Amino acid sequence: MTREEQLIEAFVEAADTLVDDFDVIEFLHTVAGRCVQLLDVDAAGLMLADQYGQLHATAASTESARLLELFELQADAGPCMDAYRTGSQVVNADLEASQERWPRFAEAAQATGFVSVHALPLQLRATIIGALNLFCARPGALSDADVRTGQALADVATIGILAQRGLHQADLLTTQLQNALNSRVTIEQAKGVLAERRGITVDQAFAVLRAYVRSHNVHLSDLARQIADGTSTAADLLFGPQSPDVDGRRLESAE
Amino acid sequence: MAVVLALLDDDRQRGANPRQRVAARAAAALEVDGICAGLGTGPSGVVLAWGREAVSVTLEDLQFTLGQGPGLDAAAGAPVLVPDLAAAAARWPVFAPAAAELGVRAVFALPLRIGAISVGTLLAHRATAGPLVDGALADAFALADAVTLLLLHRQSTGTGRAGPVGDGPQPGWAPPAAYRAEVHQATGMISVQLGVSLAEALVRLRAHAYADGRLIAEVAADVVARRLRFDGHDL
Repeated sequence: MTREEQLIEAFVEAADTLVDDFDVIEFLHTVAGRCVQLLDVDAAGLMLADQYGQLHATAASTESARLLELFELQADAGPCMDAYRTGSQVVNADLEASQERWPRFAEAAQATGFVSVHALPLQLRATIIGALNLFCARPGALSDADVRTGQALADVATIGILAQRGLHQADLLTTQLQNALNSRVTIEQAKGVLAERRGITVDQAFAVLRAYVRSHNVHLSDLARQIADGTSTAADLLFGPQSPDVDGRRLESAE
Repeated sequence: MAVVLALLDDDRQRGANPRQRVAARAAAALEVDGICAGLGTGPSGVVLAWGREAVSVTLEDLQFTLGQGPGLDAAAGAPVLVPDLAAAAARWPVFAPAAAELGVRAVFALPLRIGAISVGTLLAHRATAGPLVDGALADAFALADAVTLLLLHRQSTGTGRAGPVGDGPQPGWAPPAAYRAEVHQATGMISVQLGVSLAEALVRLRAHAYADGRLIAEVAADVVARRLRFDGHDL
Protein backbone atom coordinates (compact mmCIF):
# COMPACT_ATOMS: atom_id res chain seq x y z
CA MET A 1 0.00 0.00 0.00
CA THR A 2 1.40 3.40 -0.90
CA ARG A 3 1.76 6.03 1.77
CA GLU A 4 -1.07 7.97 0.17
CA GLU A 5 -3.31 4.93 0.41
CA GLN A 6 -2.32 4.48 4.04
CA LEU A 7 -3.17 8.11 4.74
CA ILE A 8 -6.56 7.78 3.12
CA GLU A 9 -7.22 4.60 5.06
CA ALA A 10 -6.28 6.29 8.32
CA PHE A 11 -8.70 9.15 7.80
CA VAL A 12 -11.54 6.96 6.56
CA GLU A 13 -11.00 4.82 9.63
CA ALA A 14 -11.26 7.91 11.80
CA ALA A 15 -14.45 9.02 10.07
CA ASP A 16 -16.01 5.57 10.47
CA THR A 17 -15.10 5.53 14.12
CA LEU A 18 -16.75 8.84 14.78
CA VAL A 19 -20.03 7.69 13.27
CA ASP A 20 -20.27 4.42 15.17
CA ASP A 21 -20.51 3.96 18.88
CA PHE A 22 -16.88 4.11 19.89
CA ASP A 23 -14.51 4.11 22.81
CA VAL A 24 -12.52 7.32 23.05
CA ILE A 25 -9.40 5.82 24.64
CA GLU A 26 -9.26 3.03 22.08
CA PHE A 27 -9.69 5.64 19.36
CA LEU A 28 -6.81 7.73 20.68
CA HIS A 29 -4.61 4.65 20.80
CA THR A 30 -5.40 4.06 17.15
CA VAL A 31 -4.42 7.63 16.32
CA ALA A 32 -1.14 7.23 18.20
CA GLY A 33 -0.43 4.03 16.31
CA ARG A 34 -1.20 5.70 12.99
CA CYS A 35 1.25 8.48 13.79
CA VAL A 36 4.09 5.99 14.11
CA GLN A 37 2.98 4.20 10.96
CA LEU A 38 2.55 7.28 8.77
CA LEU A 39 5.19 9.66 10.05
CA ASP A 40 8.92 9.29 10.36
CA VAL A 41 8.73 8.93 14.16
CA ASP A 42 9.36 6.11 16.60
CA ALA A 43 6.81 6.79 19.32
CA ALA A 44 3.71 8.92 19.72
CA GLY A 45 1.37 9.83 22.53
CA LEU A 46 -1.53 12.10 23.33
CA MET A 47 -1.76 14.26 26.44
CA LEU A 48 -5.02 15.86 27.55
CA ALA A 49 -5.53 18.70 30.02
CA ASP A 50 -7.79 18.37 33.04
CA GLN A 51 -9.79 21.22 34.55
CA TYR A 52 -6.74 22.32 36.56
CA GLY A 53 -4.67 22.77 33.39
CA GLN A 54 -2.53 19.72 34.16
CA LEU A 55 -1.57 17.43 31.30
CA HIS A 56 -2.11 13.68 31.53
CA ALA A 57 -0.94 10.96 29.16
CA THR A 58 -4.07 9.38 27.71
CA ALA A 59 -2.87 7.11 24.91
CA ALA A 60 0.46 6.12 23.40
CA SER A 61 1.82 4.01 20.56
CA THR A 62 3.47 1.74 23.11
CA GLU A 63 2.41 1.54 26.72
CA SER A 64 5.85 0.94 28.16
CA ALA A 65 6.39 2.47 31.57
CA ARG A 66 9.47 4.25 30.24
CA LEU A 67 7.54 6.07 27.57
CA LEU A 68 4.74 6.99 29.96
CA GLU A 69 7.32 8.33 32.38
CA LEU A 70 8.45 10.72 29.64
CA PHE A 71 4.93 12.09 29.52
CA GLU A 72 4.64 12.48 33.27
CA LEU A 73 7.91 14.41 33.35
CA GLN A 74 6.37 17.01 31.10
CA ALA A 75 3.94 18.08 33.77
CA ASP A 76 6.37 20.79 34.79
CA ALA A 77 8.32 21.46 31.60
CA GLY A 78 8.39 19.84 28.21
CA PRO A 79 7.36 20.17 24.59
CA CYS A 80 3.75 19.20 25.29
CA MET A 81 3.39 21.85 27.95
CA ASP A 82 4.83 24.43 25.54
CA ALA A 83 2.47 23.41 22.74
CA TYR A 84 -0.49 23.35 25.13
CA ARG A 85 0.24 26.73 26.69
CA THR A 86 1.09 28.59 23.50
CA GLY A 87 -0.92 26.77 20.85
CA SER A 88 2.21 26.70 18.72
CA GLN A 89 3.80 23.61 17.23
CA VAL A 90 7.11 22.44 18.70
CA VAL A 91 8.97 20.86 15.79
CA ASN A 92 12.39 19.25 15.49
CA ALA A 93 13.47 20.03 19.02
CA ASP A 94 16.87 18.45 19.45
CA LEU A 95 17.02 16.92 22.93
CA GLU A 96 20.74 17.55 23.33
CA ALA A 97 20.17 21.27 22.81
CA SER A 98 17.07 21.31 25.03
CA GLN A 99 18.73 20.59 28.37
CA GLU A 100 18.11 24.08 29.69
CA ARG A 101 14.64 24.38 28.31
CA TRP A 102 13.33 21.08 29.69
CA PRO A 103 16.02 19.74 32.03
CA ARG A 104 14.40 16.63 33.50
CA PHE A 105 12.47 15.67 30.39
CA ALA A 106 15.37 16.11 27.93
CA GLU A 107 17.68 13.98 30.06
CA ALA A 108 15.15 11.18 30.48
CA ALA A 109 14.16 11.20 26.81
CA GLN A 110 17.78 10.93 25.73
CA ALA A 111 18.38 8.13 28.22
CA THR A 112 15.47 6.29 26.61
CA GLY A 113 17.18 6.58 23.24
CA PHE A 114 15.37 9.46 21.60
CA VAL A 115 17.17 12.17 19.70
CA SER A 116 14.48 14.68 18.87
CA VAL A 117 10.93 15.45 19.91
CA HIS A 118 7.88 17.27 18.56
CA ALA A 119 4.59 18.43 20.07
CA LEU A 120 1.53 19.51 18.11
CA PRO A 121 -1.37 21.24 19.88
CA LEU A 122 -4.78 19.56 20.09
CA GLN A 123 -6.90 22.55 19.32
CA LEU A 124 -10.47 23.28 18.34
CA ARG A 125 -11.10 26.89 17.42
CA ALA A 126 -9.92 28.93 20.39
CA THR A 127 -9.59 26.07 22.84
CA ILE A 128 -6.47 23.97 23.32
CA ILE A 129 -7.19 20.68 25.04
CA GLY A 130 -3.77 19.02 25.02
CA ALA A 131 -0.93 17.98 22.72
CA LEU A 132 0.26 15.21 20.42
CA ASN A 133 3.79 14.18 21.32
CA LEU A 134 6.12 12.59 18.76
CA PHE A 135 9.54 11.07 19.46
CA CYS A 136 12.38 10.20 17.06
CA ALA A 137 15.26 7.87 17.83
CA ARG A 138 17.11 8.66 14.63
CA PRO A 139 18.70 11.98 13.72
CA GLY A 140 17.14 14.04 10.95
CA ALA A 141 14.37 16.58 10.79
CA LEU A 142 10.70 15.85 10.43
CA SER A 143 9.61 16.91 6.94
CA ASP A 144 7.03 19.66 6.41
CA ALA A 145 4.71 17.07 4.92
CA ASP A 146 5.00 14.95 8.06
CA VAL A 147 4.33 17.94 10.28
CA ARG A 148 1.19 18.74 8.29
CA THR A 149 0.04 15.12 8.42
CA GLY A 150 0.80 14.99 12.12
CA GLN A 151 -1.26 18.11 12.76
CA ALA A 152 -4.11 16.62 10.74
CA LEU A 153 -4.00 13.49 12.90
CA ALA A 154 -3.95 15.69 15.99
CA ASP A 155 -7.04 17.49 14.65
CA VAL A 156 -8.74 14.15 14.07
CA ALA A 157 -8.01 13.17 17.67
CA THR A 158 -9.49 16.45 18.91
CA ILE A 159 -12.67 15.98 16.92
CA GLY A 160 -12.95 12.42 18.16
CA ILE A 161 -12.88 13.62 21.74
CA LEU A 162 -15.67 16.06 21.00
CA ALA A 163 -17.71 13.66 18.89
CA GLN A 164 -20.82 13.77 20.99
CA ARG A 165 -23.29 16.36 19.83
CA GLY A 166 -26.15 18.22 21.39
CA LEU A 167 -24.54 19.95 24.34
CA HIS A 168 -23.60 23.53 25.08
CA GLN A 169 -20.14 24.02 23.56
CA ALA A 170 -18.07 24.70 26.67
CA ASP A 171 -19.87 22.02 28.64
CA LEU A 172 -19.28 19.53 25.84
CA LEU A 173 -15.56 20.09 25.84
CA THR A 174 -15.14 19.88 29.61
CA THR A 175 -17.42 16.88 29.90
CA GLN A 176 -15.74 14.91 27.14
CA LEU A 177 -12.30 15.63 28.51
CA GLN A 178 -13.42 14.47 31.93
CA ASN A 179 -14.78 11.28 30.40
CA ALA A 180 -11.55 10.57 28.57
CA LEU A 181 -9.40 11.26 31.61
CA ASN A 182 -11.58 9.14 33.86
CA SER A 183 -11.53 6.28 31.37
CA ARG A 184 -7.77 6.42 31.53
CA VAL A 185 -7.84 6.23 35.33
CA THR A 186 -10.04 3.14 35.14
CA ILE A 187 -7.56 1.54 32.76
CA GLU A 188 -4.74 2.17 35.22
CA GLN A 189 -6.79 0.59 38.02
CA ALA A 190 -7.50 -2.41 35.80
CA LYS A 191 -3.80 -2.77 34.99
CA GLY A 192 -3.06 -2.95 38.70
CA VAL A 193 -5.75 -5.53 39.38
CA LEU A 194 -4.65 -7.71 36.48
CA ALA A 195 -0.95 -7.37 37.32
CA GLU A 196 -1.55 -8.55 40.87
CA ARG A 197 -3.88 -11.39 39.91
CA ARG A 198 -1.62 -12.75 37.19
CA GLY A 199 1.74 -11.96 38.80
CA ILE A 200 2.81 -9.83 35.83
CA THR A 201 3.95 -6.24 35.35
CA VAL A 202 1.46 -3.46 34.70
CA ASP A 203 2.93 -3.08 31.20
CA GLN A 204 2.25 -6.73 30.47
CA ALA A 205 -1.21 -6.35 31.96
CA PHE A 206 -2.04 -3.61 29.47
CA ALA A 207 -0.84 -5.74 26.57
CA VAL A 208 -3.09 -8.55 27.77
CA LEU A 209 -6.06 -6.18 28.02
CA ARG A 210 -5.59 -4.83 24.50
CA ALA A 211 -5.15 -8.30 23.06
CA TYR A 212 -8.38 -9.39 24.70
CA VAL A 213 -10.22 -6.33 23.39
CA ARG A 214 -9.11 -7.06 19.84
CA SER A 215 -10.04 -10.73 19.93
CA HIS A 216 -13.37 -10.34 21.74
CA ASN A 217 -14.70 -7.15 20.18
CA VAL A 218 -15.45 -5.36 23.43
CA HIS A 219 -14.76 -1.77 24.43
CA LEU A 220 -11.49 -1.20 26.24
CA SER A 221 -13.15 1.14 28.74
CA ASP A 222 -15.95 -1.32 29.54
CA LEU A 223 -13.53 -4.19 29.98
CA ALA A 224 -11.22 -2.08 32.13
CA ARG A 225 -14.10 -1.05 34.37
CA GLN A 226 -15.21 -4.67 34.84
CA ILE A 227 -11.70 -5.85 35.61
CA ALA A 228 -11.11 -2.95 37.99
CA ASP A 229 -14.34 -3.26 39.97
CA GLY A 230 -14.26 -7.03 40.01
CA THR A 231 -17.38 -7.69 37.93
CA SER A 232 -15.55 -9.26 34.99
CA THR A 233 -16.10 -12.94 34.36
CA ALA A 234 -13.45 -13.24 31.65
CA ALA A 235 -11.67 -16.25 33.05
CA ASP A 236 -8.93 -16.27 30.44
CA LEU A 237 -8.11 -12.70 31.27
CA LEU A 238 -8.23 -13.04 35.03
CA PHE A 239 -6.46 -16.35 35.36
CA GLY A 240 -4.46 -16.67 32.18
CA PRO A 241 -4.76 -19.42 29.56
CA GLN A 242 -6.72 -22.21 31.20
CA SER A 243 -5.34 -25.26 29.45
CA PRO A 244 -1.64 -25.48 28.58
CA ASP A 245 -2.49 -28.19 26.07
CA VAL A 246 -4.84 -25.97 24.11
CA ASP A 247 -2.93 -22.75 24.50
CA GLY A 248 0.65 -23.42 25.34
CA ARG A 249 1.83 -19.91 24.58
CA ARG A 250 3.52 -18.28 27.52
CA LEU A 251 2.34 -14.86 28.60
CA GLU A 252 5.46 -13.14 27.25
CA SER A 253 4.41 -13.84 23.70
CA ALA A 254 0.99 -12.23 24.09
CA GLU A 255 0.74 -9.19 21.84
CA MET B 1 -14.36 28.45 44.77
CA ALA B 2 -10.89 27.99 46.25
CA VAL B 3 -12.22 29.28 49.57
CA VAL B 4 -15.16 26.92 49.38
CA LEU B 5 -12.88 23.96 48.76
CA ALA B 6 -10.54 24.98 51.56
CA LEU B 7 -13.48 25.02 53.93
CA LEU B 8 -14.59 21.62 52.67
CA ASP B 9 -11.18 20.23 53.47
CA ASP B 10 -11.83 20.78 57.15
CA ASP B 11 -13.84 17.66 57.77
CA ARG B 12 -13.85 17.93 61.53
CA GLN B 13 -17.34 18.11 62.90
CA ARG B 14 -17.77 21.63 64.15
CA GLY B 15 -21.51 21.83 63.97
CA ALA B 16 -24.06 22.47 61.31
CA ASN B 17 -23.74 26.23 61.00
CA PRO B 18 -20.29 26.41 59.39
CA ARG B 19 -21.40 23.71 56.94
CA GLN B 20 -24.42 25.70 55.96
CA ARG B 21 -22.22 28.69 55.20
CA VAL B 22 -20.02 26.51 53.02
CA ALA B 23 -23.15 25.15 51.42
CA ALA B 24 -24.51 28.57 50.55
CA ARG B 25 -21.15 29.66 49.17
CA ALA B 26 -20.84 26.55 46.99
CA ALA B 27 -24.29 27.08 45.56
CA ALA B 28 -23.59 30.76 44.95
CA ALA B 29 -20.26 30.03 43.25
CA LEU B 30 -21.98 27.74 40.78
CA GLU B 31 -25.01 30.01 40.48
CA VAL B 32 -27.42 27.23 41.31
CA ASP B 33 -30.05 27.05 44.01
CA GLY B 34 -28.94 23.84 45.65
CA ILE B 35 -26.40 21.04 45.51
CA CYS B 36 -26.42 17.63 47.11
CA ALA B 37 -24.14 14.63 47.17
CA GLY B 38 -26.10 11.42 47.19
CA LEU B 39 -25.39 7.72 47.20
CA GLY B 40 -28.29 7.05 44.83
CA THR B 41 -30.38 5.36 47.50
CA GLY B 42 -32.98 8.03 48.01
CA PRO B 43 -33.29 10.56 50.83
CA SER B 44 -31.45 8.34 53.28
CA GLY B 45 -28.51 8.32 50.90
CA VAL B 46 -28.08 12.07 50.83
CA VAL B 47 -24.74 12.56 52.51
CA LEU B 48 -24.31 16.30 52.02
CA ALA B 49 -26.84 18.92 50.97
CA TRP B 50 -26.29 22.60 50.39
CA GLY B 51 -28.50 25.53 49.50
CA ARG B 52 -32.18 24.58 49.06
CA GLU B 53 -31.82 21.40 50.99
CA ALA B 54 -35.47 20.33 50.98
CA VAL B 55 -35.65 20.50 47.19
CA SER B 56 -32.37 18.58 46.86
CA VAL B 57 -33.53 15.79 49.12
CA THR B 58 -36.89 15.58 47.34
CA LEU B 59 -35.14 15.32 43.97
CA GLU B 60 -33.08 12.41 45.29
CA ASP B 61 -36.27 10.83 46.64
CA LEU B 62 -38.05 11.24 43.29
CA GLN B 63 -35.23 9.67 41.32
CA PHE B 64 -34.93 6.74 43.68
CA THR B 65 -38.66 6.12 43.86
CA LEU B 66 -39.34 6.56 40.14
CA GLY B 67 -36.17 4.81 39.03
CA GLN B 68 -35.34 7.55 36.55
CA GLY B 69 -33.57 10.91 36.48
CA PRO B 70 -30.36 12.67 35.54
CA GLY B 71 -28.61 11.61 38.74
CA LEU B 72 -29.27 7.94 38.06
CA ASP B 73 -28.01 8.33 34.49
CA ALA B 74 -24.89 10.10 35.75
CA ALA B 75 -24.19 7.25 38.18
CA ALA B 76 -23.41 5.17 35.10
CA GLY B 77 -20.31 7.29 34.65
CA ALA B 78 -20.92 10.33 32.47
CA PRO B 79 -22.02 13.81 33.60
CA VAL B 80 -25.61 14.63 32.70
CA LEU B 81 -26.18 18.33 32.14
CA VAL B 82 -29.78 19.43 31.67
CA PRO B 83 -29.94 23.20 31.24
CA ASP B 84 -33.62 23.01 30.31
CA LEU B 85 -35.52 20.23 32.05
CA ALA B 86 -38.75 21.02 30.20
CA ALA B 87 -37.06 20.49 26.84
CA ALA B 88 -35.66 17.16 28.01
CA ALA B 89 -38.92 15.85 29.46
CA ALA B 90 -39.11 13.00 26.96
CA ARG B 91 -35.98 11.50 28.46
CA TRP B 92 -37.47 11.28 31.97
CA PRO B 93 -41.22 11.30 31.36
CA VAL B 94 -42.22 10.90 35.00
CA PHE B 95 -39.34 12.57 36.78
CA ALA B 96 -39.25 15.75 34.66
CA PRO B 97 -42.79 16.99 35.39
CA ALA B 98 -42.43 16.04 39.06
CA ALA B 99 -39.24 18.06 39.30
CA ALA B 100 -40.90 20.95 37.49
CA GLU B 101 -43.62 20.96 40.15
CA LEU B 102 -40.88 21.48 42.71
CA GLY B 103 -39.85 24.57 40.75
CA VAL B 104 -36.74 23.00 39.26
CA ARG B 105 -35.94 24.05 35.68
CA ALA B 106 -32.29 22.97 35.32
CA VAL B 107 -30.40 20.00 36.73
CA PHE B 108 -26.69 19.14 36.53
CA ALA B 109 -25.51 15.73 37.70
CA LEU B 110 -21.87 14.76 38.06
CA PRO B 111 -20.69 11.27 38.95
CA LEU B 112 -18.44 11.20 42.00
CA ARG B 113 -15.75 8.81 40.90
CA ILE B 114 -12.09 7.98 40.52
CA GLY B 115 -11.89 5.62 37.57
CA ALA B 116 -13.96 2.58 38.49
CA ILE B 117 -14.44 3.80 42.07
CA SER B 118 -17.91 5.28 42.33
CA VAL B 119 -19.03 6.83 45.60
CA GLY B 120 -22.20 8.60 44.47
CA THR B 121 -23.50 11.53 42.46
CA LEU B 122 -23.37 15.30 42.84
CA LEU B 123 -26.64 16.94 41.87
CA ALA B 124 -27.05 20.68 41.34
CA HIS B 125 -30.36 22.32 40.50
CA ARG B 126 -31.72 25.74 39.62
CA ALA B 127 -35.17 27.29 39.39
CA THR B 128 -34.32 29.02 36.13
CA ALA B 129 -33.37 27.24 32.90
CA GLY B 130 -29.96 27.81 31.32
CA PRO B 131 -26.53 26.18 31.21
CA LEU B 132 -23.97 26.52 33.97
CA VAL B 133 -22.25 29.87 33.63
CA ASP B 134 -18.79 29.95 32.03
CA GLY B 135 -16.27 28.37 34.30
CA ALA B 136 -18.92 26.98 36.62
CA LEU B 137 -18.70 23.48 35.19
CA ALA B 138 -14.96 23.33 35.83
CA ASP B 139 -15.68 24.52 39.37
CA ALA B 140 -18.34 21.85 39.68
CA PHE B 141 -15.82 19.17 38.73
CA ALA B 142 -13.39 20.57 41.30
CA LEU B 143 -16.16 20.43 43.89
CA ALA B 144 -16.94 16.87 42.81
CA ASP B 145 -13.31 15.91 43.33
CA ALA B 146 -13.32 17.24 46.89
CA VAL B 147 -16.65 15.65 47.73
CA THR B 148 -15.47 12.33 46.26
CA LEU B 149 -12.60 12.21 48.70
CA LEU B 150 -14.88 13.13 51.60
CA LEU B 151 -17.32 10.36 50.72
CA LEU B 152 -14.48 7.92 50.13
CA HIS B 153 -13.27 8.35 53.68
CA ARG B 154 -16.74 8.31 55.16
CA GLN B 155 -17.41 4.99 53.48
CA SER B 156 -14.21 3.43 54.73
CA THR B 157 -14.87 0.46 56.91
CA GLY B 158 -11.90 0.40 59.20
CA THR B 159 -8.29 1.47 59.30
CA GLY B 160 -8.69 4.20 56.72
CA ARG B 161 -10.96 6.33 58.84
CA ALA B 162 -8.03 7.70 60.75
CA GLY B 163 -6.53 9.02 57.54
CA PRO B 164 -6.69 12.56 56.24
CA VAL B 165 -8.65 14.05 53.44
CA GLY B 166 -5.44 15.69 52.31
CA ASP B 167 -2.49 14.13 50.55
CA GLY B 168 0.71 13.34 52.39
CA PRO B 169 1.80 14.86 55.67
CA GLN B 170 0.82 18.41 54.80
CA PRO B 171 -2.69 19.70 55.35
CA GLY B 172 -4.72 20.54 52.30
CA TRP B 173 -5.93 18.24 49.62
CA ALA B 174 -4.62 16.96 46.32
CA PRO B 175 -7.42 16.24 43.86
CA PRO B 176 -7.59 12.73 42.40
CA ALA B 177 -7.05 14.39 39.03
CA ALA B 178 -3.47 15.11 40.12
CA TYR B 179 -2.69 11.47 40.84
CA ARG B 180 -0.01 9.81 38.79
CA ALA B 181 -0.89 6.61 36.96
CA GLU B 182 0.99 4.60 39.57
CA VAL B 183 -1.47 5.64 42.29
CA HIS B 184 -4.32 4.08 40.34
CA GLN B 185 -2.27 1.00 39.46
CA ALA B 186 -1.35 0.58 43.11
CA THR B 187 -5.02 0.95 44.05
CA GLY B 188 -5.84 -2.00 41.79
CA MET B 189 -3.01 -4.11 43.16
CA ILE B 190 -3.88 -3.38 46.78
CA SER B 191 -7.54 -4.23 46.20
CA VAL B 192 -6.45 -7.74 45.14
CA GLN B 193 -3.81 -8.08 47.88
CA LEU B 194 -6.30 -7.25 50.61
CA GLY B 195 -9.40 -8.62 48.91
CA VAL B 196 -11.21 -5.30 49.26
CA SER B 197 -12.96 -2.84 46.97
CA LEU B 198 -10.98 -0.28 45.00
CA ALA B 199 -12.42 2.43 47.23
CA GLU B 200 -11.16 0.73 50.37
CA ALA B 201 -7.80 0.08 48.71
CA LEU B 202 -7.36 3.77 47.92
CA VAL B 203 -8.25 4.73 51.47
CA ARG B 204 -5.67 2.26 52.81
CA LEU B 205 -3.04 3.59 50.42
CA ARG B 206 -3.68 7.18 51.52
CA ALA B 207 -3.71 6.20 55.19
CA HIS B 208 -0.41 4.35 54.81
CA ALA B 209 1.22 7.36 53.13
CA TYR B 210 -0.09 9.68 55.83
CA ALA B 211 1.11 7.41 58.63
CA ASP B 212 4.57 7.17 57.10
CA GLY B 213 4.74 10.85 56.31
CA ARG B 214 5.30 10.12 52.63
CA LEU B 215 3.67 11.31 49.47
CA ILE B 216 1.01 9.00 48.12
CA ALA B 217 2.87 8.83 44.78
CA GLU B 218 5.98 7.46 46.51
CA VAL B 219 4.12 4.71 48.34
CA ALA B 220 2.30 3.86 45.11
CA ALA B 221 5.61 3.55 43.26
CA ASP B 222 6.79 1.07 45.92
CA VAL B 223 3.63 -0.98 45.51
CA VAL B 224 3.88 -1.11 41.72
CA ALA B 225 7.57 -2.02 41.90
CA ARG B 226 6.59 -4.76 44.36
CA ARG B 227 8.81 -3.35 47.08
CA LEU B 228 5.74 -2.99 49.28
CA ARG B 229 2.81 -5.33 49.75
CA PHE B 230 -0.38 -4.69 51.65
CA ASP B 231 -1.08 -7.90 53.52
CA GLY B 232 -3.49 -6.80 56.20
CA HIS B 233 -0.76 -5.98 58.69
CA ASP B 234 -0.17 -2.47 57.38
CA LEU B 235 -1.65 0.46 59.32
